[in-house]
Amino acid sequence: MRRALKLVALVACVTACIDAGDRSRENDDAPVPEELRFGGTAVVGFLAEASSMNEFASNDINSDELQSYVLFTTLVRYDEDLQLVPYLAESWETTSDGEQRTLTFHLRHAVKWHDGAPTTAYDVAFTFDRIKALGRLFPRAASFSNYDSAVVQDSFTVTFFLKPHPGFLDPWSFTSPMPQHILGDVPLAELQQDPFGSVSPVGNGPFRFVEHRPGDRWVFEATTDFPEALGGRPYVDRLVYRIIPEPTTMLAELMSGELDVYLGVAPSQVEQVESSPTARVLRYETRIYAFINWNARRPLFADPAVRRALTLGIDRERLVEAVRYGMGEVAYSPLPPYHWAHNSQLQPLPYDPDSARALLDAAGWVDSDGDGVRERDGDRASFELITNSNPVREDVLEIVASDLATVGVEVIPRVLEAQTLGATITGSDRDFDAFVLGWGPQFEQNDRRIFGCATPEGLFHWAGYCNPRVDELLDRVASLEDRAQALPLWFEYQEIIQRDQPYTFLYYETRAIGIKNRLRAVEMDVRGTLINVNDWWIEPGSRRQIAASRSP
Amino acid sequence: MSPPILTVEQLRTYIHRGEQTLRAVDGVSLSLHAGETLGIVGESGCGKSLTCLSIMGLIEEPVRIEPGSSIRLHDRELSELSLRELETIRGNEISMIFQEPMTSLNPVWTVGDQIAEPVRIHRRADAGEARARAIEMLELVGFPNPEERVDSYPHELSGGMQQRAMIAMALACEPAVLIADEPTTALDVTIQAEIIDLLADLQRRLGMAMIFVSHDLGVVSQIADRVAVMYAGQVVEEGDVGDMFRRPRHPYTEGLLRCLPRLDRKVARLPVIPGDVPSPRDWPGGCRFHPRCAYAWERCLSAAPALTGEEHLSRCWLEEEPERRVPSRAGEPGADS
Amino acid sequence: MTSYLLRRLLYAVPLLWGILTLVFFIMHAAPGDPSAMYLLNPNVSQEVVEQIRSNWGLDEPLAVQYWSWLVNFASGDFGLSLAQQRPISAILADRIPNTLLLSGTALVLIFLIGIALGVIQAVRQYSTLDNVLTFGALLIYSMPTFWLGLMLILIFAHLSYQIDGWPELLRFPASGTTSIQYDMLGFFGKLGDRIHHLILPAFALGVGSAASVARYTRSSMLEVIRQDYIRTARAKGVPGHRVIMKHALRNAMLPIITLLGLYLPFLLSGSVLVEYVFAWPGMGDTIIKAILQRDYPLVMATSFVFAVMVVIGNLLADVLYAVVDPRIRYE
Ligand SMILES: Nc1ncnc2c1ncn2[C@@H]1O[C@H](COP(=O)(O)OP(=O)(O)O)[C@@H](O)[C@H]1O
Ligand SMILES: [Mg+2]
Repeated sequence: MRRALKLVALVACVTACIDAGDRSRENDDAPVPEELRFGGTAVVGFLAEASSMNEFASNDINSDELQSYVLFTTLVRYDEDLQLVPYLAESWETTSDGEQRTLTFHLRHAVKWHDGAPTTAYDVAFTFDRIKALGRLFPRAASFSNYDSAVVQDSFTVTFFLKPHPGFLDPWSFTSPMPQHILGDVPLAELQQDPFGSVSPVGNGPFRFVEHRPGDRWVFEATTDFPEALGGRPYVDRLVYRIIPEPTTMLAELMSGELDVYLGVAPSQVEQVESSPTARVLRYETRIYAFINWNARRPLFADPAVRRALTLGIDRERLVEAVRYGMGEVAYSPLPPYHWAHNSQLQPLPYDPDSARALLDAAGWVDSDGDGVRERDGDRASFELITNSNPVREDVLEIVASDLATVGVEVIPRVLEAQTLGATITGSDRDFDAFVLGWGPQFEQNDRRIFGCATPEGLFHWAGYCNPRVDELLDRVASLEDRAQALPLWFEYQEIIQRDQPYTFLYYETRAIGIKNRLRAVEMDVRGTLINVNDWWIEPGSRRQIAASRSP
Repeated sequence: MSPPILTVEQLRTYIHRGEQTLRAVDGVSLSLHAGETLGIVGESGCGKSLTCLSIMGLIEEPVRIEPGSSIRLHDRELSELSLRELETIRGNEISMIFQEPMTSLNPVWTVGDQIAEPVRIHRRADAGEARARAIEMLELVGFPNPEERVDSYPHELSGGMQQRAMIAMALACEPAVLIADEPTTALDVTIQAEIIDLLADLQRRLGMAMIFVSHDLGVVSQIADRVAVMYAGQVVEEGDVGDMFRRPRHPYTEGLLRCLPRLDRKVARLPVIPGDVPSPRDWPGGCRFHPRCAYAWERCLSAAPALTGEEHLSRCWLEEEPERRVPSRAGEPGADS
Repeated sequence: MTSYLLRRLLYAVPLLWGILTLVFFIMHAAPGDPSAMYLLNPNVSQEVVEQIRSNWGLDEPLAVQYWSWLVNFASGDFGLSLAQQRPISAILADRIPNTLLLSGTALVLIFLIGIALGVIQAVRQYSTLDNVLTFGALLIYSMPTFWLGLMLILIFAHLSYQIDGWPELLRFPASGTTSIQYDMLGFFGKLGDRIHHLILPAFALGVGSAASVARYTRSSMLEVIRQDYIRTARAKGVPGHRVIMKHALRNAMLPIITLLGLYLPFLLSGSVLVEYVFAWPGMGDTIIKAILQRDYPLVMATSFVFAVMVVIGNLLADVLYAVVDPRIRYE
């Protein structure tokens, strides 16, 4: 089998000659014949623990990625164009009958649980039934809110009954079927705490579970008989997921060769990794954007014109340079550039302090007492900008404060511990002025939770924004399955948000990964960090002397 | 007479404090013969202890034995020995016991351990032998049930018993010389007498020579054969104990004798020698005793007398001008002023 | 002695109860609750948060929550970690050995290094060596543990690999308790690997306290070698080194042993930072996360373990004190 190296559209190549995503590199790879690529241990350093391999219990992104790409298999996957393609499901078909729809998956026959049992439709139905039974105890219950029931047709065919909705396949891109023959007898109340998640998971993916030392590492081993149709046996023999919370320590481990991959290189460390002769930096686009939320319940932020002025008054280009060392793009839309409906005709509002001043003047905010801060009807244009303790975000506060000071708005930066921030901005009294946060939406975005009018307000209605037209647009796109019909509505939505500025979007985050040069073919993109972990291979001469390398 | 076991000649032990030099022991000569007890008396601060410690080689910076001093044990010049060699002599050929038995015993080891230690070091005895020796020594110094007491810690013993344990430790290797520096000063009067009797008894039985130091001439007289009286870092009078009591030659000795409580003279209050012991920082010029001396005349102020005499020596100009032994000041010599 | 220790343990019960009650109310007074770990997660909806709150009993009055915690806790049930969805007893079983290993090694290092240096300094008082060590100790003592840990990593786990000719013996791993190839090693290989991983964190954790133990030992030793019984020992002909090691050291240790009890809480709180820096999967890392995630049951259980360790450490110091000083007798 020739594995084609997939190219990631948006990977920013920094040093063309050493970047894995670069074509010239692909040619360099050619001299190493495929059969020599098998073997070795790849060690990946993560900043945070993956809490559980139990699909029913975990909700953190690291667990998700390990489940979807390493230990388990999902029914469908996104390809590099973010189109859903078959994976554990060989194919699927749908039928429609007005308000009722069926979705039938045909599973591949050759996929086995690592204890030898075949993966069947019963596992899929079991997983679905348990998710429904857990109800709102399942962290992502909302994903399946339009799904009604599942029926097993035969061992490899399962049919779901659901209400039609756009992106109905999306939940199956991040939900891995769990083994019924292992978890089937566990009472529902104990399902989320079952030792399966942390002590003894049994998967059906390209890697099998070897060991978990909480807070320290997860160890996986290549599944030697993993079906060719799903990518075949991974090149590396072992995959070790190490948890190292401190970036400096992580960097030292990468440099000394203890790690092959350092996920989440801090912006300030990128140059150091780049200058190393034995490591390279891979940059990739993430789903995360950073923003300032203006609390429109406060007089200062109630007027869209004022919010516009504030955006115009912040030099976001400079901000990305300063706090992210250029790793990011100035943001302007709640639908990030990877989104199919992203409106790239819009331009980010420029940095234009003069217009900002004019807008503020026009809105009645003038500095009549000459103290450098505007006021109106006795209110001062002064507010507290909060965020959680995180060095990058703290820098953001400082830059925003200094920029806005030049247009006569006073910003008092304040840093809170994450949980305190969470409680403050989601609390029902919404006792804050403005905050800076990062947000990583799913591919199927539900923005009513953020920008919809609502009584009572939901957790995420922190902006206090309400525009009936936006509600109408969001309601319509939520039911329109035809993307061509939905696109103009999404565009209009983005235009309105651009005009009203409930948020000031700061940047779309680009992340940096440090990779040892001996580890080849690593790709990452907006889908995540382990998307092609099967294809990673280690140069034969520079593998760790650990296990006897087994030939496939 | 046989040659002395221990001879100290012109011992000068100075304390070097920056620029200052304190001549704490300033030309002391002593000799000690086998089986003999030499008493050293003098008020506190006269340099008695430093003399003893110098003999043991137990002084440390900033105190130094000055060149020209000599301490000979048999034929060996102790002041020239290395520390290693000294260590083989201490506790073995020459031992010392101290004033405070309470603080002189190590609180965290049993008395048995501490008595056995010199035996183990000098005799290379094994643990069992050393312990047996410790028990034997405890018995010797009068412990009622030594087998049990050998495992006692110092704090479990009375002051008298502690001092007995100290003596046992010092004598465990049967040294030729025992130096006892005020061994009874810290004890009750009745116990004092017991310890003195014990020391006298042991000295007879073991045939060792002893230097017995006390500020109390009365105590010394009970045990010593000969007495050296020290004042201001020097020996001012030396002689047979009986001689000294009958005919003290030095005015300082006279003063000390007068201060003794006596059975035949009941007084409400014991007299003391007027004035204080001077500090080694500034010994008085001339005769060091002259500021406190009832007989002092001009000569005493300007020139220092030497220690003169045959058997009974004294460091006083009265030796040359005995006619002046008339109080020059008002009142009796040594009267409380 | 045994009855004394039992009594001390018994007295510790109300103390522990008081501490834990305090922790309970402080934790609950802090903004947010365990469901807050879902609050900023775009994938979790409001209904889920509310359901989880009621499932975990967080909507009950505080007094009710306290009572049910107390009843469970008193019956030995630590409960379930809300964030990890694992029994807390299992989490503690994973983590306590690592923390004990690290803190224990640091404690041994503290006292071995601290006492050795202190004795050397006392014996060579005012020598150049003494002055250099005094200065060094002050310097190290004033370094924050976190910063010191990072520096150790940068020098011995980072720079050391960049510089050719750096002695192999002075290259250390930056993190974790074992290497990747640990499972493939033989017995001595495994032991060596563990020790190799232990050195930097134990050093980072212990060196500051070792510096202060050295200072205490030095002054205690100087005090002791002026004592009469030291003179007695030398008068017996005991060789100099033996005077120090046998007669002086044990006495000088008395005030130092008291420090043992004092250092333990210090060590445990230090281990929180050191474990973070060195990715050491111990209690410290667990307690930080538990606090940040408002994982109440886990915070209570880890606080309990820390408090018990401190109590036991103090008892140990008492016992050791009695062992070293025969004058001490506990009734
Ligand atoms: N180690 C020392 N350092 C400084 N001065 C000392 C030291 N030992 C003794 N002296 C001084 O030397 C003098 C003689 O002391 P010492 O021999 O103890 O007198 P005595 O035993 O006769 O009372 C005293 O003034 C005392 O203060
Ligand atoms: Mg004295």
